[in-house]
Amino acid sequence: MSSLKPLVFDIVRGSCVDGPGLRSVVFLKGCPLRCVWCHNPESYEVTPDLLFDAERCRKCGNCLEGRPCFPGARRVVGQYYPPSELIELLLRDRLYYEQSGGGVTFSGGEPTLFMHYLEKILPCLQAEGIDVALQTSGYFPFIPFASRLLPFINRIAFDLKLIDADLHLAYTGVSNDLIKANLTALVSCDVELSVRVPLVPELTATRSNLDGIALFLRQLGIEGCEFMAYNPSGLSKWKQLDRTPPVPLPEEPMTRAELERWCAYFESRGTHAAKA
Amino acid sequence: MRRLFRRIFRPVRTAREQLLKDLRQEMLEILARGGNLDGLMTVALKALRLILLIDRDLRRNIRDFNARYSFICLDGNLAVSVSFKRSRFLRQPVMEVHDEAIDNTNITVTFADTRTMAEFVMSESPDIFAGILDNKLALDGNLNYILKFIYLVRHVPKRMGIEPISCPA
Amino acid sequence: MGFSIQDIRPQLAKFTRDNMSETLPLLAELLTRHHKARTAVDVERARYITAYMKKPDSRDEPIQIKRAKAVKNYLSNRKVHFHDDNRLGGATTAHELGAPVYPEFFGLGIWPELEFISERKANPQFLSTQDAKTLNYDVFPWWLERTISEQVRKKDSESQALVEKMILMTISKAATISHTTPDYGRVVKQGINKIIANSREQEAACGSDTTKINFYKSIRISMQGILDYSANIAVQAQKRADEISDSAPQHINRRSNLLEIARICSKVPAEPAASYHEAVTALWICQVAVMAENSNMAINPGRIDQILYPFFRNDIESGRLTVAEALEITGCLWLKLADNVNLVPEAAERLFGGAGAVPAITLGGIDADGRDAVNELTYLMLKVTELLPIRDPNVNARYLSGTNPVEYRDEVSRVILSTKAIPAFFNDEQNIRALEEQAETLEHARDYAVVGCVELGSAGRDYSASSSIFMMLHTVLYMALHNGRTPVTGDKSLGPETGEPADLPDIEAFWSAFEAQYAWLADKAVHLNNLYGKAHQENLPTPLLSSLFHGPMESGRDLIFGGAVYNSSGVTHIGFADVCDSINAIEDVCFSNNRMMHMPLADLVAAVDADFEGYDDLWHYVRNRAPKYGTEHKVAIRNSQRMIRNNFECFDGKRNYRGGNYRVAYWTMTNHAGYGRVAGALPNGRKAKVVFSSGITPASQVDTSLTSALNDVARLDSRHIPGAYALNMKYSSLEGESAATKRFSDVIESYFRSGGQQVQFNIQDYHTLIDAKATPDEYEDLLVRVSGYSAYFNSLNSAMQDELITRSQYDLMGNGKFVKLDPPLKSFKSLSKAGGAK
Repeated sequence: MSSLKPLVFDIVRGSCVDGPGLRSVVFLKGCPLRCVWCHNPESYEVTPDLLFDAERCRKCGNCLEGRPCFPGARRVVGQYYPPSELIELLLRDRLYYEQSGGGVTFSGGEPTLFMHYLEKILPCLQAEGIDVALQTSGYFPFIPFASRLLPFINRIAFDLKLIDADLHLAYTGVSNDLIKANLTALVSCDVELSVRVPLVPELTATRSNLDGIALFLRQLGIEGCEFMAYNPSGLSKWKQLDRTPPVPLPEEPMTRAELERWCAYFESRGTHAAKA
Repeated sequence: MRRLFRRIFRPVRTAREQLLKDLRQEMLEILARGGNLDGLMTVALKALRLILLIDRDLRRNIRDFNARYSFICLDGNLAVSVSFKRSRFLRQPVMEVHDEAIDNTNITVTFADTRTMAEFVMSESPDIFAGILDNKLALDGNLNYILKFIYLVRHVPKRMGIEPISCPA
Repeated sequence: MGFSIQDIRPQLAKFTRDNMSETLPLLAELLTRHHKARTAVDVERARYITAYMKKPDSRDEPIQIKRAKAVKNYLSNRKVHFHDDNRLGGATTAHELGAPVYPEFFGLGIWPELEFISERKANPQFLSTQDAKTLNYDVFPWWLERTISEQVRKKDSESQALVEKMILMTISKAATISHTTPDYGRVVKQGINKIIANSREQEAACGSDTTKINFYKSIRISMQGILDYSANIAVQAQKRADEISDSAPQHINRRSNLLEIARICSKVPAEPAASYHEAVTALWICQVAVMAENSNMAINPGRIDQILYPFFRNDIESGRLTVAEALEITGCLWLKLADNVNLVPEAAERLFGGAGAVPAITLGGIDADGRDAVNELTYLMLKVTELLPIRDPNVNARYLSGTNPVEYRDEVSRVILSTKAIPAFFNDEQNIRALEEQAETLEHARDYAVVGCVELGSAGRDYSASSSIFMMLHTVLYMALHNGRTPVTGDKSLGPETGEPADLPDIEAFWSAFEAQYAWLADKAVHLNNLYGKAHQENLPTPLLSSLFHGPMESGRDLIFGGAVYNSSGVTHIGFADVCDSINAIEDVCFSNNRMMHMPLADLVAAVDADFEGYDDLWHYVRNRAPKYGTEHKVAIRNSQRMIRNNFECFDGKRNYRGGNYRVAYWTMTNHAGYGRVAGALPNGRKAKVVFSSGITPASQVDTSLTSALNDVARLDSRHIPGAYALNMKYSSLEGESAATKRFSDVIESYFRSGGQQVQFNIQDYHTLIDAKATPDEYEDLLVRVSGYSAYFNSLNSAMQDELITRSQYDLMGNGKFVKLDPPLKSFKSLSKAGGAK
């Protein structure tokens, strides 16, 4: 857990894809996982990152002289928002949340890395009657989480990526023991829980992985999960970070038909899957 | 009587057509020269004057029309004017061209340069609004008169078989 | 026996655009004809009006009488045409789609192109050789010295010269008496005979006041014109019906339709209407008559779901009218309202091209007592709007949260998604409050109708002249930055000498300069507008329109002399977002502790005047990093609110020539594109000759999110915007109707509860519009919202097409960020040459 100042790498507002209704989503920087397919690789580190967008570069040479990059090709991501400032910003859209049944979503990175920060914010949002959602990799220490954050969270979108422990370690850099244990524990907590499975061709979108996930969910009494079809939008960010993903990733998004096939397959294993 | 009349006037008409051809030639030369379009306005106005003498239909436009116009070009320090009146001699309305500014005009048009001036008389669709917005043209007087004048002057390139100047977009 | 009025809505659901050729074949056919019709210049009105004005024996008539007789001369003698099987008699012009010539105003503008207008490249308007001759020889010469602009110039050539510079302001009175909502209810309910009788009584009671006597006389002359016209329709319809002897079914239909038109037109609008069909006919004939007297610009039918509802309900409940028939008759009205467009001279094409006549219809909202006014006819008219996505009428939906049902809000949302453009949404809460602040009574404010594009006015009570003045904010900014000089006056200061940039030491000094220039221009504009108003009074009284208003009959005063209950004029603004962002950039770069980019104002102005050539860093900085309206940046919020307040306060207290207020507004038609194309660069990084942002809309491609953009607009104090504004939003194409409708409707509700006054939409993707510009033939009927009205994309000029393409797009079902146009529309010029208006 980091006691650093948490950095926000993006805030989007009016999102329809991060929980029910219209939502503001705060993306916090820093993640204990290193999923090879990550589409927000700039969220790996808790420290600021420099992104370089070659298409915007006018080759003015300002950067060589240590001057600012005005065309915005070189861009530092990661900005600290004092809690009060962040709360003010999130409350601006409250009429939209109320009307649409939306609210605020914390995502990352891994937002639970910053419990000391979130515990200053979530209670205020709750006091304002704002619905709070959390998107998590599930990799966090349960006890402090349950006491410090959980009471202020209305819903959790919990990622379950790979069921096989070795593959999980290989492709995300961490073991999935803690993740499975946390999911198991959360089932009996007073929070709306949804499980999300990223479908990455050949990596997570395999029959054996989905068989295992289906079985695990059934054991927990979880009725279904949400599939997130692979899309290659992360590739440009890898490029801007001047890094390459550890494994080659497809250039094309997963087709709708393919997604439907996986849904049907999942259904055939007795568990429901929704398309996200 | 009518036949006699025609016999007298035929040579006049032929002479006018010939003059029109000469003006056309002059105009083509100015256009071919490019760059300096100084004389074009005057030639075009002279042509219009002739066309109005020749073309009865078009002449109907200037019946009882006693308007006066001045055209001033700032960069060439050029001024040319036209006035319409009824000729007692010809017993028909005529247009006169003067090589200077005149007073008591219904409208005076000031052009920033000869190019704009040339376009005004020789383009397919002279756009006075564009001219004003681009600060190339200023009007002083009754705008309606300029609308009527453009109607008349648009007959010049058509009648002379000269491709209109295209305005830069 | 009919059926209960509550059964209407389920029945409406059965009618769709896809099954229209079976369920409503007449409307399907008329719609096809409408899309095929080419515009023709209509000279009939100009001919009759001019002929009367020229008459030697009319010379000594008082203008009030003379004008009435001239208009009557047209109405009583004009030919009656039946272009198609529309169930309503009467037409605006002699052509299926006509552009009437108003020589009193700008009709002479087409003089230069009389022989070319039929074939010109941009929006040709057909003119026969014969009609061209009529204009050239019989009509235009008489008006040479008599047009309204010329009358004003003769009185004050110096002021008129300011208008002719074109970059400062537009005074619309040169072009029109219009932009108002008559009280058609009185004709429908009482009939014209009653108006005539009233005028007699009033005249008898007014003693020897000759002005009043003449006014009441002029009412009767005009009303007789309408009656003659209607009677002629009846006679001609009967004649044509008698000529049909064929017994083929379609001919039998045609015959019975003509007979019904004959029957109805021999009764209304003289007598009160007794059925829905009669009521709609009476309303339409009066609309035609108003355009015989006044320009066909924003003459608004108004709240017709309220006016016509009793007739509709009665007919439905008594079984005289089926839902299909009601749809057909209403659809016929829609298509009739679309039978005319403005005459647009080639030279004006690039500023105004593509506009219809913008008759505005206002649906829903609340009644004078504050109760929910949404009725079954409201839903039926929304259905017609969905079935007929045409340029005119301009349909607007009023909505009051908490009083109007949610189903209504959802239904309006669904229709917008279905048509991808119409109707526009208006927030009663803010708009009624804004009108109350304009000293309208609460009851009258609640009965507001939308005027033309977006403006507001109590229906039938407010002679609103809402398009009177267009203020060019970018020129005001230019003058503030150049010591009062303008781009077309060289070294001479036209406005007050408020100092060179070097003399402006801080942002307050800059604002003072801006406010002084604005105040100067406002004074000039008001002076000119009032001069034009006087010219209207001396030359163009409006007895016909006055008869259809609350006020003139009682006071004995023509509308043009302030006879209406309310007498406002409108002042709208061009370049709001770009100028706000420019001020933000000035404050940020020149007058704050900016370590990244700082320069004196004089340098910034030099850079802007050089179109940022050689100032790359600055250009990138102001585009990418300076505070922007629409992003909820605190500097931008402060400056936008200050601008709104300043403009309001400057006009507040000024009086027009009729004794009414000036109402400040922010809508721009196509002017923001046209004027942008000829304007120099601005400090916000907008380069020279690039279109401005429309209406009150944040600048295109600024890094906004949907909610930040909406919040910044909603935050503007509606009491400072009593003329309302056009907020143009663009959404990506949406799939999955019900989820999208819910989301769409939720956003409307939230935006209105945050304080928004108005919003309108295009549901179009960048690539669709780019494609439409490149291959216009494949997008013939593509309907888009411009800035307050609808237009066919193809009929818009290139600048306006570019503005529509580049408008920021939001994905309502996505992550909320605006979708960037990528790659940007770089070479505006080359694109416009390649495409071009067809």
